[in-house]
Amino acid sequence: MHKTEEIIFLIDDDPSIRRSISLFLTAANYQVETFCSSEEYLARDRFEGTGCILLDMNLDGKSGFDLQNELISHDSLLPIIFITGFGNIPMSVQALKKGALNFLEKPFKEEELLHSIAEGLAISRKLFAEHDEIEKARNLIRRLSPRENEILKYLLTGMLNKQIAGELDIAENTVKNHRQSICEKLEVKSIPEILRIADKAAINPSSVRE
Amino acid sequence: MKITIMTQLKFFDFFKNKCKGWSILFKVRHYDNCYLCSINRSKLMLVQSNLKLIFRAIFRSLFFLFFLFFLFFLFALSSESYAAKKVKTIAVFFSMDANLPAYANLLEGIRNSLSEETAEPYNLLTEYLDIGRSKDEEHARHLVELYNEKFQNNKPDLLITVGPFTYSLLTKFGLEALKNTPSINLESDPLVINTPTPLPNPNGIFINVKFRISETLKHAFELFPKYREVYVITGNSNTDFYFTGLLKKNAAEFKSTHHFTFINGITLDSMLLVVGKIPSKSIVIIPLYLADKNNVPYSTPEAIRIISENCNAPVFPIFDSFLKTNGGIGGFLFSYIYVGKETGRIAKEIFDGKPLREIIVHKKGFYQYMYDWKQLKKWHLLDSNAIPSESLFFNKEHDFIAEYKWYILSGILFLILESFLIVFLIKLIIRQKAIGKQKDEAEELYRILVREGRMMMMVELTASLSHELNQPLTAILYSAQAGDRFLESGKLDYNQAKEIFRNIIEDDKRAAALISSVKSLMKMENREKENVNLTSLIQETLYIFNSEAIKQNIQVNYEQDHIPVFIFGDKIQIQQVILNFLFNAAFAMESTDPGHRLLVISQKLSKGKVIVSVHDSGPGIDEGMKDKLFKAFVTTRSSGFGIGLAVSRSIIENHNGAIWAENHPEGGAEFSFSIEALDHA
Repeated sequence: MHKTEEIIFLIDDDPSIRRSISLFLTAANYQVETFCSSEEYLARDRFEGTGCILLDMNLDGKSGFDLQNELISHDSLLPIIFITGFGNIPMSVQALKKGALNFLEKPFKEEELLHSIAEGLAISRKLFAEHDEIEKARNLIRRLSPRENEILKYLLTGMLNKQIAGELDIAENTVKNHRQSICEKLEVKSIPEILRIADKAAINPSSVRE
Repeated sequence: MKITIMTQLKFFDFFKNKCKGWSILFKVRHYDNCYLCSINRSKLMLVQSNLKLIFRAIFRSLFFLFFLFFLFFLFALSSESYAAKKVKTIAVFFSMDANLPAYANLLEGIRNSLSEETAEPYNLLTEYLDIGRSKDEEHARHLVELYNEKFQNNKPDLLITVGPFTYSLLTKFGLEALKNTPSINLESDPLVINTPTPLPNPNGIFINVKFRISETLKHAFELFPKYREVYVITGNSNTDFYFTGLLKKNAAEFKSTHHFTFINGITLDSMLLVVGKIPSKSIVIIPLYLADKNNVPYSTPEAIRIISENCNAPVFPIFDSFLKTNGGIGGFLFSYIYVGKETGRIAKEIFDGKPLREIIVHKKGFYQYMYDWKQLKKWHLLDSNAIPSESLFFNKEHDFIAEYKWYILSGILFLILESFLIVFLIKLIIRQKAIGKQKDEAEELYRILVREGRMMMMVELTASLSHELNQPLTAILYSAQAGDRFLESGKLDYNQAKEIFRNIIEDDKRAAALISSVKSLMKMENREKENVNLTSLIQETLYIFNSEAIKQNIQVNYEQDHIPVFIFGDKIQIQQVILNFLFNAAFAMESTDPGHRLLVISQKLSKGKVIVSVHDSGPGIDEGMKDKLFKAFVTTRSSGFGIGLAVSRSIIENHNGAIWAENHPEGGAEFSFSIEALDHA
């Protein structure tokens, strides 16, 4: 039902909570990893996969908020579900503003938790997929030679071969050859496809203008 | 026992009857009721025996008082009988009958003088010759014989004869007593009245009484200067005639200014009719009215009263004896009282052995200005210039304000002072009440504050508790859900189930422990406080802690600067705080090298407060924890809920003390509390 690489990360300083929730999630066929503090989680190798984080707000050492901020700065793709025994409205608002998926107050209901986790995982998958495509596009773009890269940037501005040749002071045929090479390297057949990959890889055409 | 009680009761009854209206009655009744109501016999007997003692004491003192009175009485009697031997007898002979008010006044005057402080006791005998009614000389002779008989064995020490005619008659018929007994002879003016010139009396003093009727008339005319008509009213007896004659003689003097009319010889009834017709602007003179035409005797004062009541004109008597009768106005009157007083004075001088020749008669006071105050008022004469300032006033309406000026003033002053006192007392009471009320309010406010404070703490505590409880509750819920899911999927194995149940049990225990620890916080109120020897309490607590200290290899030092110190508080609770400090210290030193685990508990007196501190040699308090230390559920430990210091704070605050924690300059943490020390001097 779930991909095996999907992991739920449970970070709570209360051993009872860690024990019981991890057991429950295991019973619900999730893979769970538990941590007693933010520091312990940060010490783990960066996880490249789908999953979500169940994060206690009141932790010894770095609080749940601190960890959230840190993860944002690290471009973590894992949605965060806060769990707290001592929540209030300002705290939840702050957490949600920063992009937390949900804010569950202990003792939260089973459905709430499972629903949040399912949602979190869906988001994670989507994010992960998007992230995957970008990586792919970037990898393809990396194949291009510097000259081809240059020509790609001109192509992105919508210039014709003749115009590019004039711009770079080279023969039109040379431009055509480069274009052919770009298409081969990017494993595409048409200009629009080239443009889509460049867009994903976030190649900025404006830099070419100057 | 019953008999005793009955006797006692009879005794009470006796006293109840004897002491009616006495305050003891209340007590008797009270105890009587006590008796009737009493169920407890021994108590009753106690009351009875007490009463018996009280009554005995009263009885004895009463008896003693009676005895004293008796002695005093005996003494008084003996002195009286001793004095009785010296009593002098004075015989007074009057010419007329006993009804003359003049005689009564005369006797009153004599008695007044004789009974003045230094006077000796005397017997005053009175005899009335009554010659006014009968001019028969035989009658007089028989009387004198009777007197001789009477005084034969009981000779008077002094004779007083009141004329007219008395002395001469008594001499004429040979009153034995007159011959060798001193006498005072009051005689009318022989020039005015046709009386025999008295024979010289070697044993007596003649006091010639001269009636100054013209002066009396003159003064009456002065009082009513515009009144010209004068009516002289007299009765029909010989004496009446005598005075009518006297008046007629004197009237001649005023012929030119006043017109005199003499009314007599009619019955009193006719007299009243006549009197009623007298014009109001006239002057009525009534010297005497002894009997009317039909010889019906009248008392002159009564006659004057009746006549003046029926008369529209002012009525004047000429003697003081007719003044106090609600009739005559008064005026310049002959005073029988003064004459009597003078007679009495002379009698005293005679008794004192003063030679008769040396005795001087003071006649100046015989005539006095005397008035009936009410009559003066009636005739609007109170402010008359004719009335001399040294006059005597009778029947004076009591001018309370003038007469009792000082009594009234002092009374008013007393009342004012008393009112001030009452007002002061009332104010005092009001103020006391107000202060009491304020005190109550303040106390109520204090109670509310304390309660509020505790409420705030409770709210805080409840919030913390709910958070803390959520943890095990959540854990239990998810353990159970996990088990449920495993069961559903058929994946539940033995070990997993066991783990789940253990988790549930453990979390449940944790929840229960939490609740019970909070209960101890809630129960803190309504505990009895007492005087506690803090020094020995610390000692006791250290015994309890001793095993822990040994186990953890902790060296414990107890330092005091003063022993013993007493506080007012809950022994158990204070012990709880100290124990909490000790165990916290022990825990703090877990990481300390076992050789250096030192715990110092100190007790210091400062400004009436005792400070108890526990200093450990642990790592000290984390700066970030300092503010939260005494809040509930704040802990740095893996075990415990962090409720100990919160409880301690609550206890110490409940004792109006302070609790704090700080890092000791020599390292380690120091937890302290301070409580007011009792004055142990």
